Amino acid sequence: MNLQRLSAWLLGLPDSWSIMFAQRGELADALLKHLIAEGHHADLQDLQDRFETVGQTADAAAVLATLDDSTRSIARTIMVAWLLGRYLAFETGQLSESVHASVMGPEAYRQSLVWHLIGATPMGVPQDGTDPWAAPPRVVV
Amino acid sequence: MTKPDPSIGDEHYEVVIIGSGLSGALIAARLGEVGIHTLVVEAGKDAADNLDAFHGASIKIPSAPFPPRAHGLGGDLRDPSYEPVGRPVVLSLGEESWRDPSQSYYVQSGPLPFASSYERLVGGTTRSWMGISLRMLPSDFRMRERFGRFADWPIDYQAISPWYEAAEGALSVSGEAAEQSYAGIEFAPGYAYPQPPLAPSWLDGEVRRRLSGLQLDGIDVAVRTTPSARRSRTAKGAPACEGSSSCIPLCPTGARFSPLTILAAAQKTGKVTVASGWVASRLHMGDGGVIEKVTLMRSDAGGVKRQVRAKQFIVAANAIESVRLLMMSRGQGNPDDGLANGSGQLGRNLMDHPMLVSWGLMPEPVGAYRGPLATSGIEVFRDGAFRQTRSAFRVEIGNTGWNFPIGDPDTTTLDLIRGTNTSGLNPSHEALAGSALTLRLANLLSRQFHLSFELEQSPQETNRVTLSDQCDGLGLPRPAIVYDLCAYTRAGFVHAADLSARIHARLGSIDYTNTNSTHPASVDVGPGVDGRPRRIRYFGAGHIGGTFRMGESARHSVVDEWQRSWDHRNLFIVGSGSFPTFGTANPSLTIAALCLRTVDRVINEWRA
Repeated sequence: MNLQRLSAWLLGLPDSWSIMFAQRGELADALLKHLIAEGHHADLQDLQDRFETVGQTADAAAVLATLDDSTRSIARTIMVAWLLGRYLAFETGQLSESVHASVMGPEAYRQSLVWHLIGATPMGVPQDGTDPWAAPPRVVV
Repeated sequence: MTKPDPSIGDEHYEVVIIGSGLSGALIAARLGEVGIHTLVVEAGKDAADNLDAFHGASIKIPSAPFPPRAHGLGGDLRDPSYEPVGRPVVLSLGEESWRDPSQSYYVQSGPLPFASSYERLVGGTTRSWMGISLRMLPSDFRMRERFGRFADWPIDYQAISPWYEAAEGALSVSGEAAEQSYAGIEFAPGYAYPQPPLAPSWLDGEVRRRLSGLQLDGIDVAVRTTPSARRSRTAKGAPACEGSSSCIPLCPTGARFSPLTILAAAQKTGKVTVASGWVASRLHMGDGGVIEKVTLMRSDAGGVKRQVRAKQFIVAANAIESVRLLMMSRGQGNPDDGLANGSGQLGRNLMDHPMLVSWGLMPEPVGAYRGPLATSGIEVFRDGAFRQTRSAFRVEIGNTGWNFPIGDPDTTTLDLIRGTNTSGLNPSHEALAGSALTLRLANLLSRQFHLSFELEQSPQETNRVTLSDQCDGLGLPRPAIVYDLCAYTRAGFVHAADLSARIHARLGSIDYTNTNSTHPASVDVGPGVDGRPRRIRYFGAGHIGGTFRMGESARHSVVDEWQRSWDHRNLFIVGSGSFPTFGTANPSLTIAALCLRTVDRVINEWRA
């Protein structure tokens, strides 16, 4: 299973982001292990199969709307993990209404992608360059 | 680094300092330099900055990287009655927890919550601070003389000015003297800050440009950079700021001043010992009111006790813990209402800079989540004739989007994925995916900003720290707090809320500030432009002061202008607790200046 390809589709990120995913093997491994340990292997496979069927150019939101709750929960868990470095809490296979999302670990937080959408780095991680905060904003997507 | 050995009582010290934070560190270093044998006692642990603990924390509160862990994974708080070295944490000042002594270290009886916290560890709360290093204004020292309000300090701006220079040197402050020369602030001819100012953020520039020409009550709403103890340039191998957007709780590069640097220099003199894990539980008074010794309890060995004698004692815990120690030292040969309390003022006049936080979306991306937490502010409302009737305030321009007000980028991200609307940015409850998700996120997050209006709080005798009948894990009484905001400060909030609305209108930003707060830490600020009543939450700034005020007489104050107890002439009580009024400057620079002035006096007397 190519979790990075599936994730890039779920997040609608172009090929130029493949290097970002490639650099985050640790996060991908941790996420995969987590989903399997939580008993979601079958749902994950369903999601992967659906992705292979519809292809990279399909509208992810439209596809997710057609999924059953548990498969859609897996998709959301994957999106949250990549963007925030957090695990969504599960309750009997469903997302809990009182959901909270715990950080996967310090490295996953440092690798989280949401900051990169807006040309920033996670809070507590230095930026590159001289006085980068003074430069015009750089929205990356 | 420090000395955990319980044998510290075997030695005799010339000076004992209780507390290893900014005040204690600066004083110890100077005493060490001149060869005075000094013991620094610290209740908390000697823990290194733990960046992994911060990065890995699900709830990124200021105490996250520091021991002991204040809560479980779900945010459930540990019962402070079992903690040998308890402390208030942000979570214990929440809607449910603030009045619950099984969750809150403070034992609060209101009517409003006191909303600021602190750390207890080697280096103190300045291990986790923004570094903002504003001078107080000349008017701040003369509130009674100039505005007929509250009290004058026993010193004025001219007296403290050279010590501000010394403090700015010790903290390697970045700033520009000409830009900071406002509201009566003067610098010595030719004075230059140790470092040039940090570059303002792109957001600062946008706010400055859009507010150009805006006036309120005839005052230009000008934006200027904020002096800070964060290096703008590398110096002597020390790094410059790399814009890590987390001065609190930790600066990952070491560009922001840390008292650990000063403590290390103090120990290097060979004359200063720092002993961590020892809780001062009682000071003992001898003949003539002289303090003879201190009882220390080991925090991790069932409260094993030692007593240490010294010629001089300097209490440098903080404005709450110092009061607690002096009050715990009551009776049994000491005065019944605690040490240093002949005036009855000990523990009274508790103050903070209560904050109104306003947040909005700019029309275009402004580079949110980049840079130090703040690089510029609006300072023109720190002073004016209006201080006869209402409090002053300053406005900090926040570079980190909506992180402080709502916990973004996490909250909005979860909203857009799950179809919820906790952030207010997903009113249609859309559950997005694909490029629709990431484009929306980029659009919303990059336009976020917030403003913090930090208000001058007036001293009130009824705002008070005493001892509770609830104890900590060593059986020592915890702080009991009574707190309210008086009409003077509340009037300042109304003005701040009105200015906030004017600023949003001028910026063209959409104002998302919650004006219907049900949190107990909320104040009414009158109707908004739509005529509806507004109730806005206030936050603590972590600036705690006033509880051992300095003054010109033993009758009305706890310490004199040197922060020396009127009642015990070999006892100094130092820190922002000595401020008789609080102004609007973040207090650390003034704390440092006063402590350098105090230790100079101590050394001169020692030599004499």
